[in-house]
Amino acid sequence: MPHDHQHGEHEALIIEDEAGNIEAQIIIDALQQVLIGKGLLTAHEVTAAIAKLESPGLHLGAKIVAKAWTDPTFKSRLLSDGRAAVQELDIPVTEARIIVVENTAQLHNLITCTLCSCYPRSILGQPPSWYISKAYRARSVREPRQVLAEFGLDLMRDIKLVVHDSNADMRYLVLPEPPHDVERYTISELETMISRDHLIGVARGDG
Amino acid sequence: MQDGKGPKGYHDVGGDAAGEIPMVELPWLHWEKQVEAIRGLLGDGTRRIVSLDEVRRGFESFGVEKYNTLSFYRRRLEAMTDILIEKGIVSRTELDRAIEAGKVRWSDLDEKL
Repeated sequence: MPHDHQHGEHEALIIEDEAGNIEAQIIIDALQQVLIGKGLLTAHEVTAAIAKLESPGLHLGAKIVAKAWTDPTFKSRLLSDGRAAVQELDIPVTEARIIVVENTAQLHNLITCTLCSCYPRSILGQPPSWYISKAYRARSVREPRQVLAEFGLDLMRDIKLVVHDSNADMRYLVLPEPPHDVERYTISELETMISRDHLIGVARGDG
Repeated sequence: MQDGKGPKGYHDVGGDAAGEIPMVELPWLHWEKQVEAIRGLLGDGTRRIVSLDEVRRGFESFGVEKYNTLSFYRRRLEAMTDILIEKGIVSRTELDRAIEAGKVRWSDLDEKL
């Protein structure tokens, strides 16, 4: 049975215990077997789809941001049609729309999904557990500065904060500010400066 | 009715009071990946059997108690199964039969390990 994963005063995150995990594994195996039996999919397709789910990661997001930091025309394409620009980099995008929002010295962007867990998965992979928690979904739109503080980001009052609520058809991605001396770095050095949390907006970097 | 906009769904938690954010990054388990993989395949352009919107409709309408006790991927698994049964693509009986066979395999495995 699932149970609440409590950490002191933290909001409960519902996770399966060992028996629940085994039960769920048995159910999905059974469903897969029935679907294969009907010729609706093959075991090979499932294995390949799992491998594909495991492959995106932070480096894809970092690749997009480093390119935008160093190529102004790419950056403007990225901001006007995120999906098309990301696909230019040979990153397959499964989401209907990717909307890239740019941080500036006066503006910070934060991404959430209050209804569900919508996330730019084809770029960043699976969302972290906290992103899908009720506490993050509920509070990110009510007290985002407090939420950022919990992530160790004390956003100065004079920086405007915009929270973007994703949905099934629109996934957001934050374009962080480049370092002030961006031209001094190689692309791969820039890529190492960019973390997943910057692209969600719970971190800001020192740009 | 709230504000004349209709009742708020139990999944619509934006703005609700909630405690501290659990700063955890749990491992992504095999069955969870398998749920996502199969959901993706069933919704792809060649199959179009179950869409993501239908899975969402499934877990947004299966009741608040179930919603609040199932883990994130378990909700998706339950909702996907409900939709497949609702559409007559699989039957509860054949699925239950496959689950029973799976349980036997797991308990056999347990004895061998």
